[in-house]
Amino acid sequence: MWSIIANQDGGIDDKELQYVEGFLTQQLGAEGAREHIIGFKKDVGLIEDDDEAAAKKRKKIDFSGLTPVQMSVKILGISRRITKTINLKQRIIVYIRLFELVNTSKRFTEQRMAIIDAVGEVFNISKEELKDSKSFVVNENTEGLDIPSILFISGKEEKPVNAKCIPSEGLASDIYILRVASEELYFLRYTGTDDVYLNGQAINSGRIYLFAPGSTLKMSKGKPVYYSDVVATFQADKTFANLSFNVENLEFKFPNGAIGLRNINFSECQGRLVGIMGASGAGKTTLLNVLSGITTPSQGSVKINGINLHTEKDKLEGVIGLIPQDDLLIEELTVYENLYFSAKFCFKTETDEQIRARVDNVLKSLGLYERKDLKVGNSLNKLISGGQRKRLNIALELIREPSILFVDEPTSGLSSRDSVNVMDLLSELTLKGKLIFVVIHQPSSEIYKMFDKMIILDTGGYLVYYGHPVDAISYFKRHDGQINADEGECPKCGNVNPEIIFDVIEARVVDEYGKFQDNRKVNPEEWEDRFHKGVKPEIIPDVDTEPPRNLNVPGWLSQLRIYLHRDFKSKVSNLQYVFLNLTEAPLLGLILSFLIRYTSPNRASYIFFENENIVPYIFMSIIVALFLGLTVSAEEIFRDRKILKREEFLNLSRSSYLVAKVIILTCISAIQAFLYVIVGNSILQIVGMNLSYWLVLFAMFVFANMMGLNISSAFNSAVTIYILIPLLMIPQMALGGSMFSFDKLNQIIGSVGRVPIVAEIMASRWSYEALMVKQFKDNGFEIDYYEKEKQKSYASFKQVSYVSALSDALTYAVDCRDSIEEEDPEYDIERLKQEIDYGLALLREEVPNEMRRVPEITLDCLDKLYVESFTEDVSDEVEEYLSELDHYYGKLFNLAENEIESRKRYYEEQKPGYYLTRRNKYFNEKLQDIVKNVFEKNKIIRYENRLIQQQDPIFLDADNSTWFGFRSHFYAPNKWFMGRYYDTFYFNIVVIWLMSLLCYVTLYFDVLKRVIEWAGKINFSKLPFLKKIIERQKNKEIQKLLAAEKASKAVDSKSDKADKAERLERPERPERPKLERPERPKLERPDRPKLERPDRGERRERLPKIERPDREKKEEKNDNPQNTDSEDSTENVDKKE
Amino acid sequence: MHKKWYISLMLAATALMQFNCAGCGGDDGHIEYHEEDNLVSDVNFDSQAMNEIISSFSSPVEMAAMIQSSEVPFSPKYLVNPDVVKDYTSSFKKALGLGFLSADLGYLNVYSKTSLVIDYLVQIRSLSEDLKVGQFFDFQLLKRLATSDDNIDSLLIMSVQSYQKMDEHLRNNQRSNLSALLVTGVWLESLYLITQVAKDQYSDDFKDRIGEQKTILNQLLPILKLFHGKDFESLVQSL
Repeated sequence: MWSIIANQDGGIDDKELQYVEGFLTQQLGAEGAREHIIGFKKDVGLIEDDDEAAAKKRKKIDFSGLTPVQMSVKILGISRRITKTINLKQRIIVYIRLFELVNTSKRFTEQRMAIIDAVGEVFNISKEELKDSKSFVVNENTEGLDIPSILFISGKEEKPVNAKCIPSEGLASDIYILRVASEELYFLRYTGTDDVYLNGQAINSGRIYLFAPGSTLKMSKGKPVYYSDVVATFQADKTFANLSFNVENLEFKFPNGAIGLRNINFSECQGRLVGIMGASGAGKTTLLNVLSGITTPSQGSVKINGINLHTEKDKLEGVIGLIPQDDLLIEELTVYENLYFSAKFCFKTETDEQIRARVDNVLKSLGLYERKDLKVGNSLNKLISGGQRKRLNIALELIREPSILFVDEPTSGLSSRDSVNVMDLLSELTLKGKLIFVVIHQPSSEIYKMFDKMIILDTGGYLVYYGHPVDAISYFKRHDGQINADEGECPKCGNVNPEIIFDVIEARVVDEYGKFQDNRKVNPEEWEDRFHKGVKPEIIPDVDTEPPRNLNVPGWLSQLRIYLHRDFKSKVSNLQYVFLNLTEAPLLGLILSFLIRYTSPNRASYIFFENENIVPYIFMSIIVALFLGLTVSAEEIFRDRKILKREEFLNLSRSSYLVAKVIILTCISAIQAFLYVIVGNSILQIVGMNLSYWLVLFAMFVFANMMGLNISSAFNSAVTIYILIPLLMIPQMALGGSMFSFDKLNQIIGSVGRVPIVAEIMASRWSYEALMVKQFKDNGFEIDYYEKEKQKSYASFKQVSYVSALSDALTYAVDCRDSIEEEDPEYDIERLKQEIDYGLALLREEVPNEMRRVPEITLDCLDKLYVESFTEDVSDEVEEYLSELDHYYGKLFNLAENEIESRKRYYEEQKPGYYLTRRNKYFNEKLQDIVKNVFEKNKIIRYENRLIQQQDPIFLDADNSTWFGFRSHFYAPNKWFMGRYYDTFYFNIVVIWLMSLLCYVTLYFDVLKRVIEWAGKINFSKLPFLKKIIERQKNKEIQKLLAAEKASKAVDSKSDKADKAERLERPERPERPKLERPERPKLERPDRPKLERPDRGERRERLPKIERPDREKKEEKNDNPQNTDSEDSTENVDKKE
Repeated sequence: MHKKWYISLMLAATALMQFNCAGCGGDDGHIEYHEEDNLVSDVNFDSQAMNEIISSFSSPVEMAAMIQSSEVPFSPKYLVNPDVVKDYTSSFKKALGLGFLSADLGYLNVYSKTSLVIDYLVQIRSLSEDLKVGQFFDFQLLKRLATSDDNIDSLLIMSVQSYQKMDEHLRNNQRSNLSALLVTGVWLESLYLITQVAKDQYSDDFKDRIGEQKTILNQLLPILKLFHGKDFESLVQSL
């Protein structure tokens, strides 16, 4: 291109030639440039071109003899060919270089300009930018350069009008920087004479340089100007929301007391990309967690726009985003779906199409678009590669573009190209005004230079550098005393090696043999010190305005819909799961009912009446419901915990999440219960009860689901959850009422005449009772007879058992009374009186109840039923009363009996065999035996002063003595509550649903989790009885230590004693003699036999004296001045020891 | 996508309807019954007469003892199959059945067929519970007695006592129809046993006994005739 242009209008001149030579030499080095320079010279005709073949190879164009038109056509052709091979960025650079060439000689002839213009057009550079480029290259004076796309770095007082300006002290002539917006290219030009260094190399005036990302301009006076500053200045035009991120004196302590971060101070504003680097264990992730608000620092503050992040979190909703190191993805969904649902949560007002467009955009920019329909899978079952998982992880946060973003190692595991792509994306975000913190490990040179600032941490959380990344290298090199410390990057290629920093920081001491020691030359505190002494970081004042938030969280209902949609999709996509869930219940029903479909051998076919296994079937169905419900839900919340953690930043509603889960589980349960009942009941030919069974089992399923959700949310590992399941299941089984009769349980928990309280809290008891009662009472056969049978049972019980019990009590009292009257010396009168009272007490208690029930028959002498007033008249009256009752109940019985018999007769007349066929089809004999408690020997029992009916519980109405109490015996056909009787079946189902509701409440408030956490916090050493044990343990150890000391010290047995007297508590003193005596003789006699003995003697004396008051001690000392002195001193020394 | 939803919902709805009516299908046979005022008034007859009948005719045990002494081997085909009794629906039949089984129990005991006794006892208990006269049988005691050979006499006495008490109770409660049926059942079954045995092995003793039954029948029939109802009428006729 140059040769073409140079050839115009009289050929090349010296300046131009110089320019070309200089350029090629600088780019390629002397060796490489030579060939090209010769080629160029030949092309412009300075050297004779003998070699035709080589000329052709160089594609030399012979322009001689061509008309201008022909020439332009050729030039256009060449330009087009070039256009196809290079991208826009490169084209712009070429274009500017062309201009540069012409500029050297300032020969802006028409021809040349025409060529350049034509080239510009073919290169598809926009007109604006062509114009700007021209202005930039050609103009010498300030006015021509005062356009918006140029930036002045100027020391002058006058500021340019249209162009941007970065002030720089003491700079004589201005530096000009052109911005080509479409490709974010920057060109630099300097016309002055001062020393200015671009990336460590001095720049020539008159030349145009490419100002690449990460570049630094250093002037002899004044601060350096960084690439990011230039960019920021150009961006300052755009209205970005202002952000200030101030970290002051941040300190973080781990729970075990170790300090993770210390004395972190820095300030940032919007539009910056900040890197965090450090060796492993330096505290990078800790810092990230504290800065993003996940963990709270022990000291110091993080303020965003003046709002403290940790104390006023709700004001900063939606401002922060965090991309963690581990990928938190929903494994069952595809890449697209993961992103789609995440977006749905963030943008309330956008339509579905808009959201989908967004998702597509982000996918494309991260190179995931082709994989969008692949399922994510988990680390064991990877369906997309690790790098893609990482990119998806990033995409999830990127899509909502939070104003402040924290990224933890986005490039680990990615190829270098992918890494650059990701970092590019992040830096694009900063151009939009975001503040991004990135923890990065081993960045490549290109990525390293992308950062605006770098925070470097050393082990233990020390901040050892905060500033421009390339300067960091110079800084550390300087501190290491390296020679070329000023060269942050390689002058030729611009390559930067961040590893140098760590080599310097962690450099180890070398010992005299030349081997590396374990300790470092400079430890972290010193680095921190040096940094604080040297560099004063800028402090950005807190911005007053509210930080921008890009989050528009949808309302509760919408959230619910999204959760439902997502959960449903994720379940449905796992075919195994769906299949198992749908088939497990009916399969169990099939197996169970098939196994127990018993036909007695002398019957031709199966008869429901005779199947003895129906009752266990009912109970097993309930257990199946519990098990299935529990296992389906046990891992639900646990599995989601990573996702929940990520969504913490979105502040979504917990209740909508839980309700969505509950809805989905409930639907699954409904289907499972339905399938189970359909299969089981039809095989066992339980007729007409399907809906009832389904209602009860469905309620049980849901209850089990709720229990499962509770434990799923409370524990931190899946195994713990499963270990807990038997603990939940076995009490339900044991206290359900089927395996163990409630009357035959341990008396401590048993209740007489009522279901024990422990069983009342078991849902299985309620469901089992509901089904048993329903199956007996309302089946197609019994429903015709139940009311009358109930009456019959009631009357018969009263007549046969109740009245006779009362009658027996009466007879007993009468006999006792007679014995008293006989004054038989054998009997103790007091005892007899007690027995009378015992009998009368029963009457006193029961007769009023009975009078309430049967008001027609009364007993007037009720008040006389006491020992003193129990005359014969009274007993006769009572007897009469009882016989009246007997008759009454007899009549009642007959009435009911006749009703039943006539009904049976009627049926038999209408349809012979009706009774039997109906009975065989709908009624079960074994079930009847159980609900009627047929095998119970005691039909009636006396408890305190009441009579409790044990017989026929199914025909006995519930106890209605209290208004509120609903507790009753087992198999009661109805329940009494708040003044009304309710059918047991519906009442029990309602109770089970209430229990489920309670479980939901505990789930919402995370009650179980809190209990476990509280239990974990109990400091066991503070409990009283444990305290003593621990102290005793400590004392024993002290003794052992002392014994060991004595064994090693030959001289100081005396001091040991004295020490012991000081240190140990009284209880240990008696032990002392045991320890000392055997040792002393052995050790001391060989050493100093003569000296020690008198000492010992004195010591023996003195020891008791230590207990005595001081006066005597002083006298002793006065007696033996010499010895006391020496011994005193040794004692004192030893005391100190 | 939405189409799939609708189709599956429809399927679910139809399935549910099936579900609910699963019981409906078989329910077409249900017969409506309206209660009538049919207080069956009881019949009073002399308890003395009843007592006489009870004590007069040979108790089943006696009968059985006689059969055994004549060295007729045990034959289960004479006996009522206890399971049949399960299908006795009305109290009329149940009372009769109770009588049959009691007689058979005696027979079994004489031949010391303790293994079969249990079956009979279970059915006796069930029947008596149904009739609400279970309180008169001490089943534990009965079981013990019936399964040991030596206590035939006590079994005899006990059973007579029980029956008397039961009878009294039934009559006191205006259920004397059942009492009569019970006695009839016992008598009928004993008669049957003897006649069957006599068929196989005729002896004069048997002939005499059978003859005696005629007198008892004469005493029984008037009592039975006192009761109303189709069942009794047919019973009387067949007798």
